[in-house]
Amino acid sequence: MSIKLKISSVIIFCLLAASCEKAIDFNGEEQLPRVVVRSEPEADTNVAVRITYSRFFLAGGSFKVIKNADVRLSVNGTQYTGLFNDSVYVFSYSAQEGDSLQLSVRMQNGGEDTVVTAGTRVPFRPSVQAKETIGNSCHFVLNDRRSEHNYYRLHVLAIDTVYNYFDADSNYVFAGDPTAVGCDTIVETWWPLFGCSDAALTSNMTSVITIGGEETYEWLLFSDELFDGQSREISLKPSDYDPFYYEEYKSASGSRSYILVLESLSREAYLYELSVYKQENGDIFMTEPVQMQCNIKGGLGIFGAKATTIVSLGTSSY
Amino acid sequence: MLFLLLMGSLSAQTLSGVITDRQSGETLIGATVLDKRSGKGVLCNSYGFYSLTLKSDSVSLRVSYVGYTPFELDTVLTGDMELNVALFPGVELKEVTVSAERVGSLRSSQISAIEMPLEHIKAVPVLFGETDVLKALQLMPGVQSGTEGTSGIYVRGGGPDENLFLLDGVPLYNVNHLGGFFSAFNADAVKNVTMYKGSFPAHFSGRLSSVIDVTTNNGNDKEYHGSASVGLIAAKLAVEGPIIKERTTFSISGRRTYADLLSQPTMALLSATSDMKTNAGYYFYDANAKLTHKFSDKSRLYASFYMGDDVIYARFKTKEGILYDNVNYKEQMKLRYGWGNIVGSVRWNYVINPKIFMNATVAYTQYRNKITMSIDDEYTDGTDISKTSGEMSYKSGIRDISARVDFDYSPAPNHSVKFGSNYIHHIFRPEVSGTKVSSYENNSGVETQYDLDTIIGQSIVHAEELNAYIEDDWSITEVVKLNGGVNLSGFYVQNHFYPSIQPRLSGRFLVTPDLSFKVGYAWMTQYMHLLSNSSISLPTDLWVPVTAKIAPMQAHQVAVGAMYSWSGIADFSVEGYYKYMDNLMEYRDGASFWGSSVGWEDKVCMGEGWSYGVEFLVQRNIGKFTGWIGYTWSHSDRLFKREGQEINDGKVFPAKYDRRHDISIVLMYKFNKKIDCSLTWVYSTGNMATLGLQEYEGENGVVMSYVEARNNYRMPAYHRMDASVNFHRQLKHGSRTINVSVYNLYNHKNPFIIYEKTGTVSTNRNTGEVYPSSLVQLSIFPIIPSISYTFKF
Repeated sequence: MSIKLKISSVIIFCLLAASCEKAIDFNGEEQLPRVVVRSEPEADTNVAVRITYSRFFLAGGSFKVIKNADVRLSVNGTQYTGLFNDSVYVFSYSAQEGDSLQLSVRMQNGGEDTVVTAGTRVPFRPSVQAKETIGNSCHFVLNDRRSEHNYYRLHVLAIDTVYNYFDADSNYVFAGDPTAVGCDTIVETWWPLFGCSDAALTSNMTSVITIGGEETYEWLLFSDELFDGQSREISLKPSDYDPFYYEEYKSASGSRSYILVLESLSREAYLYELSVYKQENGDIFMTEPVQMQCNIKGGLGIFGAKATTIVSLGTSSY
Repeated sequence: MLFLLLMGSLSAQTLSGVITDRQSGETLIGATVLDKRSGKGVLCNSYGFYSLTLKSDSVSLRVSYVGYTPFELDTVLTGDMELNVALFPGVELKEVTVSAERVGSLRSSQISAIEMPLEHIKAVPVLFGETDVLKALQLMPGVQSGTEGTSGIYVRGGGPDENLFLLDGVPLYNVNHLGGFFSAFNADAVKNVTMYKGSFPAHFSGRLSSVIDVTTNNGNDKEYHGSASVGLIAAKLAVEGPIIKERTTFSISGRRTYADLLSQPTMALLSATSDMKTNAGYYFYDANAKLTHKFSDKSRLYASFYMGDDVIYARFKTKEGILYDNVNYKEQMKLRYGWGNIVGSVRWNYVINPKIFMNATVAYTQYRNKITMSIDDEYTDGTDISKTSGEMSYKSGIRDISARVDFDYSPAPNHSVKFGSNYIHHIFRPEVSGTKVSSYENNSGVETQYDLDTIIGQSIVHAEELNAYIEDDWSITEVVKLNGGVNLSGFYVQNHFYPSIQPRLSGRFLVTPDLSFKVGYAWMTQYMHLLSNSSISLPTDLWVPVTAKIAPMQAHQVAVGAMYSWSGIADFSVEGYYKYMDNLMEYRDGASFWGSSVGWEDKVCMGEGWSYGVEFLVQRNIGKFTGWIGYTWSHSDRLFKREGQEINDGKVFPAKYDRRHDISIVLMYKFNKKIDCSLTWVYSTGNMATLGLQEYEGENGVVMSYVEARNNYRMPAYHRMDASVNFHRQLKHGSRTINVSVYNLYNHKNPFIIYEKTGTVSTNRNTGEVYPSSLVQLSIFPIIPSISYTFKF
C-alpha cells in the first residue's frame, strides 16, 4: 500500500475523530440550594427525618445537613417535635399502620423564612401466606387489600448452609453439625424469576412477570394494578446460582432456606423508588433523563412510609 | 355540483396532452399551460399530463416551465384537442419565468408547498460534498433539521416519523444512510421534489406533518447519456437512454461509499501489532432503476426499482500459530449489521379521454434490518480438539404490498377533480431473534457433540389500510379559487378497525396579478409509530402499527399566508400556521427499546401537542444571482396528562425541537458558464435538553439528580456556513465538473449533545463530596473540506 494512501487514511481518520467536546457556560440562572427532606418510616419504628441542602449541579461541595430546623409531625391531630440527633431529626412517635402523617419543616434559608411540607400515609402490612416449597421453587399467596391501591417491593433471600466439605486452602475437612465452627453460611439476595398461578406458566417457570413491575437483582417493585383487591399466587424460581458449582463444595451437604421480605409502600414511596430505579437503570445514551418523584412542597426529597412482612418460605436439603 | 359540472362540460372543449423536454423527452412535472385570453391555466401532473377545459373556441396558449423557452400558440378549438408540447431547455427569459411562477405559486390554491428545483438541490453545499435532497429541504422555512448533520426532518413542530416520503408514489420507510447523516435519495436519480408542510391535498394521507414526494428520472428517449462522479466518501454512476427510441427508455443510477476501503490501511496498522487480524468498516450503497415504455400517446408504463443498504461489518481472526496456554488456538468473530429498503412499483398511465387521466399502481416496499454475530473458536492439543461455534441474529422490518388507482378529471373549465383509492397490506415483523450454538469435543478419544438452534420473536402482525379520496380544484371566479376534498381511510389490525374521515380545504384569493392570499386546513391521521430511543435515526428503530391500546395519531392544521411577486426580481411569501396534534407518543421516563418492541405499549405515554409559527421566504430563481432567505419563528409544546401516563407531572413542556428562530440564507451566483458558486448560512435557536439542575443526597449517600421539568434547558444556538464552487469544462466527449466545497467554513463547534461532566478528581462522589462539575457539549463536525469530480457524457 502506498505511503500516500496511508497518510490520507490517517488524515481522514483524524478529521473524523476531531469531533470534540468542550466545556460551555451554563446560560441559565444558577439555582440556590433547596431544602431536601428524606424520610421513609417503617411501621412500628420511630419516625426519623434527614434534612439537608441540595446543591446546584455545577457547584460541587458536600450536602450540608440542616441542624437548626423546626421540624414537626402531625399525626391524627397530635403534634410531635423532631429532635436533632446524629444528623437526623427523631420523633417520639412510632409509625402505625393506617396513620396519616403531615410533616412541616421551618427554617432560615438564604436569610428567608422557608417552610416545606409533605404528607404520607403509613400502609398496612401485606398479608402473605407461604405455600409449600417444591424442589427449588416456592409459592406464596399475596392477599391484596381491597378498596385501595397498594404498592409493593419484594425481596427474596436464599440462605445456603453448607457443611461436610474439604477446604483445600486450610487442608481441613468441615464435617458434622452445621452449627459447628467451619460451617459456611451463604446468605444471598436471590434474584427470583416470577411465574404465576397459571398452571401452564408455572410448570415451565417462565420468567414472564405477570404481576408487572420493575425487577432488579435484589427486588421486584410492583403495584396491584393487575390484580387489585384479589389474592394472587406467586411462584418463584431460583436463580442459576449453585453453591455446589464451586470445587470445594462438590461433595458437601447442606440446605437452602428461603426468606420472603415483602414491603408495602405508600404511593409516594413507591413512585419515589420507581424513579430512583429508573434514574439508576435508565441512563442510556440519548434517552430522556428521569424526573425524580418528589412530594415535598417547597423543597426536594421524599416523605413516604412502608410496612414489612417477613415470611419463611421453607427449607430444602441438598 | 355534479349538475353544474355536467352543464359546464357540455359547452366546452378540452385541450390535453403531455409536456416534455425537447432534448431528453423527460416529462416536465409542474409545467404550466395557460390560456392568456381567459386567464385559465393548469399545471402538469406527476406524469407531465395536463387537461385544460375551456369555454371559448379561440385560445392563446402559453406553455412554460422554469428554465425553458416557452411555447406559444394561437388557435381555434373546434372540439377536444390533443396537444403534446416539447419545450427547449436553456433559454430563460424573465417574463417567461415570472409567468410560470405566477401560475405555479401565486395562482395555485395550494398553500404550504415547496417545489425544490433540482438545480438548487445540487447547488447547495453539503456535508462531504454529497448532494442531499433532504438537507436542501431543511433550508426552507418550517422545515427543521434535527441534530447536527442529520437528515431527520421536523416539520412545523412535528416528529421525524410524521413525514411521508414517497419515491415514485411509493412510501419509503427509512430514508437515512449512516444514522441520518445522508439521505437515501440519490440526486442523480431525482427529477422532481415537492414537499407539503400542511394543507395537504386529499390524495395524500398517512402522516401528520409532511409529504415529500420524490419523482425519479424516466430516462432520455433520444440518446444515451450518463455521468460518473467521484467524491470524498462516495462514487456515483448514472446512465440513461432509449431502448427503443422515443418509446422505451431506461434510467439507472447507483452510488457507493468507500470509507471502508479507505480505512483498510488503518486496519492494517492496528492488526500489525496484535495477534488478531482485524477488518472492519462501513459502507452504504443505493441503486435506482426505471424502465418506461410508451405504448401510445395515451398509454405509458413505468417500472421503478430502488434498493439501498447500509452495512457495518467487523471480522476478527487470530493469526496462524497463536498459542494459548501452550495449546493451538484459533478464533474468529464476525459481526454484520445491515439495514435498508427495497421498493418496486409498476405504474400504468392511461388517458381514458381528454378529460380523464388514469394512473394505476401496484407496489412493494420493504424496510428490514438484520444483525448477525458469529464466534468460532478451536483449541487443538495433539489429538484432542475442542470446537465451538455460535451465531446470534436479530432481524426486524416492515413490508407493504399496495395497489392504488388515481384519476385526474377535468369536467368543466373551472374544475379539476382528482379521485381514487388505495389499498395497503402491511406486514409488520417487529423482531425475531435466533441463536445457534454448536460444540464438538474430542477428549482422549471421547467425543461430545452439542447443538442448539432456537428462534424467539414476536409474531408477524398483519394490517390492512384502505383509503379513498376525492378533491376538486374549483376556480369560482378569477379571484377566488378553492380546493376542497376529503380522504376516507380505515385501518384494520388485530381485530380492531379505526375509521377516519379527513376533510381538506384550501383557498386562494388573487388580489392583484402579483399578490395572493391563501388559507388552508387539513386533518391528518397516522396509523403507525416509529419506536426510537434516540434523536438520531438508528436502524434499530422499529415501525409498529396502532393497537387496541394505542390509538392513531391525529392532527388538525390551519395555515394562512400571502404571496407577492415583485416584477420578476423576487418572490415573497409569509405563512402562519397552527397545528394541534393528538395521541402523540412519547416514551416514559427511562423507557428503553433498543430494537425490542416487547411490551412497548406499556413503555409509552399518549398525549397531545401543538405548534404555531410564522414563516417568511424571499426567493429569487432567475438571473445569475439566485437563492433564498428563509426565516421561521415558531413554538412547539407537548402535554401528557392522561392518568398514569403523565410526563413532566402532567404539565406543558416544550418539544425537544422547539426553536424560536430559524434562519437560512442560500446564495448562488453563476459567474459564467465555467464557474458558479454557492454559499449557505444557517442559524437556529438551540434545541431543548433536559438537565437535572439540582443534586441531592439519596439513600446511602447516593447522589440523585433532580430534574424539575422536561426540556428545561436550551442548548447553545446552532450556526454554520458552507460554501462550494463548481468548475465546469466542456470536453471532447462530454463535460466535467470539479466541485470544491467546505462544510462549516468558520469551524464553529455546534452542539450535538450536552451533558454534565463530573469533576474528574472526585473520588468520593457517592458520599456527596464532589469537585465542581462542568457543562460539556459534544460537537461532531468541524470544518470539512471536500472535493468531487463529475464527468457527464
